[in-house]
Amino acid sequence: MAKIITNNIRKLRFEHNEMTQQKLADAVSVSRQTIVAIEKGKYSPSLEVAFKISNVFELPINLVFLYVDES
Amino acid sequence: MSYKENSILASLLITLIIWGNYALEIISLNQHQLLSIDTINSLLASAMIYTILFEIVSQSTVAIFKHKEANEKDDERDKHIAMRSNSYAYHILLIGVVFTVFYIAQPNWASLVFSSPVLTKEYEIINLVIIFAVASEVTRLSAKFLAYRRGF
Repeated sequence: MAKIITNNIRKLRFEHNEMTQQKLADAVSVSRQTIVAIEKGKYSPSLEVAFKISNVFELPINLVFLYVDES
Repeated sequence: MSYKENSILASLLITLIIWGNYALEIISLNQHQLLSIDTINSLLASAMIYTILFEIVSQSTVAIFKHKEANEKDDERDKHIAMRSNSYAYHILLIGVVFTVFYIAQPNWASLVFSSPVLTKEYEIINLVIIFAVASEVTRLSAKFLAYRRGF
């Protein structure tokens, strides 16, 4: 079965004082549009950006990004 | 739509409208046997000038309305999208190069595909190059626009 990369970024942003997409984008040096695309699952970030996002939330990368069955 | 989507869409529409109009004019003049080197030079010059003018106006307008995003540098996603779109456009240009070389090397066969009784061979080749250059640019811009809209 095919697997996809999903993430909990939207949920984590709200758990971190409702962090805005722009603030997260600035923290990891990408555009807000890229954060939007990552949250919607339209773009899989590089490993470096994935680690940067995990560092912002102070969580291991596997709790932010998930590799799950498509269904 | 984001600044980049607006900017790409503006360039795509300008390319399609101006160079589409150029192509239709050439075809129409050729059908009515009114095509000459002077008219081609005039059409080519006006198409280039209009492209530059409309690009300046449209890109400035988009930048004014989306001034916050306009100053952002390209990030990794922008670079990936650009690389993928350039790759598609490169293939179209490569086909154009092969076709143009074939056209020059095999004039008898090539004239079955694209020729005008009025134009010199140089001008036929110029138009052939323009066709593939415009096709590759439309491919590049369309691929970019779709990638930003749909993701990849």
